[in-house]
Amino acid sequence: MVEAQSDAAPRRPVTLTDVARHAGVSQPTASRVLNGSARTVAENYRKRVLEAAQELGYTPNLAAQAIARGTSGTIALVIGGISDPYFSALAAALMKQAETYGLRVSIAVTDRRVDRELELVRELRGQQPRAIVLAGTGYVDPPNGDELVAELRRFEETGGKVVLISRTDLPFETVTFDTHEGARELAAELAGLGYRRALVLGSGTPLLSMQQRVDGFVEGFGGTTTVAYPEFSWAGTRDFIRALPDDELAALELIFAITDDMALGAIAGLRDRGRRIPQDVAVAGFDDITTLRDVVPPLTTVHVPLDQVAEETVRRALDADGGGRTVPAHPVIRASTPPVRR
Amino acid sequence: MSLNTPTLTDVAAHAGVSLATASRALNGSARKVNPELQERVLASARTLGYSANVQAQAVARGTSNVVALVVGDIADPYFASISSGVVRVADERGLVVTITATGPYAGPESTAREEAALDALRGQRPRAVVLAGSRVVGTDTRPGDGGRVAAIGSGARGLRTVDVDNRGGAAALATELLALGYRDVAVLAGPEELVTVRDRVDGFRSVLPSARVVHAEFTREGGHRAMTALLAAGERPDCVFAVSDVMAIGAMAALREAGIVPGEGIGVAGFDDIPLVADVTPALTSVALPLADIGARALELALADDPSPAEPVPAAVRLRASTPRR
Repeated sequence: MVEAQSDAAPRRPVTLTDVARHAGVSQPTASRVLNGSARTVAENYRKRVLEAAQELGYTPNLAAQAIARGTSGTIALVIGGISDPYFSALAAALMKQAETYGLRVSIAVTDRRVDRELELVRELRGQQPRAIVLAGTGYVDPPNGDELVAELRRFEETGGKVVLISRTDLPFETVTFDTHEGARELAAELAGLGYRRALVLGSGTPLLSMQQRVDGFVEGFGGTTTVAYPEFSWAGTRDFIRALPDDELAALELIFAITDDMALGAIAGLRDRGRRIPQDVAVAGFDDITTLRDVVPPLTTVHVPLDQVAEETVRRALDADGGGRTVPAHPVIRASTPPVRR
Repeated sequence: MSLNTPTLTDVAAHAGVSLATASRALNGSARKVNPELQERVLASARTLGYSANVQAQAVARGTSNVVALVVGDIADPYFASISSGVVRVADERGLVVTITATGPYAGPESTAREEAALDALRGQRPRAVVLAGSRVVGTDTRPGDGGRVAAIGSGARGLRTVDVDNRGGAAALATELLALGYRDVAVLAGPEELVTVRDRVDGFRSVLPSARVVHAEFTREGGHRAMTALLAAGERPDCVFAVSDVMAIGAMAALREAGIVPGEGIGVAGFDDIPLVADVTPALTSVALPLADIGARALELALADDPSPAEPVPAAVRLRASTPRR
């Protein structure tokens, strides 16, 4: 029986010493049971310690453990925006993968602000995660790239690991999926279906991997391409199409938007202007986000296997694998881009 | 290679100020530091690559700069919208949000996962905790040590709560559907033990008591399953109300598979007004909740020194093509 505590008195967190005393074992034994150890503990001791911990409401002080070990069991994931379905799907895939290694994922969001990325990395470095994963796409011309690199280098020098996803603007290990090649192959397939004119919608924010999608598509298409750069969002793309001059709207044959989210925004804009998809205008996106299964007509896109990206990322974060592997991205042709009849 | 991490003492020496001044400049304090000295200390911290050891600070202070957000399924747009509001407020206050996901709701197992997540969070000594996924009827949740907890939606006793007018929103939707000419309506509901589900069903049936209720999982698959079961039983209601948009979208997929055009054949309505409702065909009638604002309010509530009781967040009906006039 535990001593009754007055509700008025501030409750002190239960310590490992309390648990050991309650279970009638030594503190090292209690620690081995609760914090894990290569040395095994006899089953009856193990049970006694676990019961005592439960009875007292003991939770390990993770912050103190992180100081003792110099690192924590957390992977810090930095993403561009949580409302973007690509990032939320990536976060879900990474959490699932991390869980199989007993790691937790904490997510921080830059909202695609360059200054915020540097601030977050500084803050996260202080938390001593096992790894910092930067999944926000890099900027074409980062204004404070040197400072960011210096910050990340210091993190690695003190035992952390930096892993990038789909960005090549910083000198750290990168898990890439082949953005340029995926867009190039998609363009070639669409050209093969008979499309000759394409409006390419790039990102109004100068993001490197997004520009690769534009370049890959233009390279693979062969026909006439016009590139425009609306605001990098669903609403921004919808508004861009809504404001398109009548003659340009009438001339549209195919739209390639560099993300599915933007493609869906373009479709909303086209519908507002009374254009039918795909009878009047064909539309293709990139990422193959899960929400596409509920969109009519089904959207042609480039599939990015996020489970593979997540697996590769966690392996690199744990230093399990030094080899560089590029995860392939491949086009998926659906009803939004039927063969052209002439 | 092992480099020594620069300490506060190093920064103070580099800037030529006392340790106390360096601490006040970098860690924040009620006592003001001369702006010139502050600038010098910050410049030295940058030069040396000093980064406050947040973990050590957390142990010393009993709390950290971290705000913990616990959600169900991170890939569910409902939680993504709430998260964006939490992140916005944290950003304004210089705090970092860590998001923990307990997965799609799966009965008692989810409650256990949520409790395990909370226990782990207690160890991190967060400044505040926002529970966005806790929706089980009558669950008690222990506050984290030294941290403050706020929940979204009614249901958790003894917690600061952002109440959402689920009941009123569902009643208003039922009234609008009646006005459009719908009479025979089925409700596709999530698990009965979820407060949100219960409130939405009760509110809807307060206006349309004849509406029958089918329970399934609180997911797209659940909506698909419930709709399929209803059709298999030979039922052809003129409209279905799914208690979440995600369930409604699953129901629309089931209708299409059965050769029924959603809207034209059977009207469909959802709840939450997630961004996806505009991308599905036909666009989905729903009940709009300001999800990002709800997230923002929850964090403000969790951080408040002396929270004052707030009005429930209102819900507004948005009629779209999935419920044409009958």
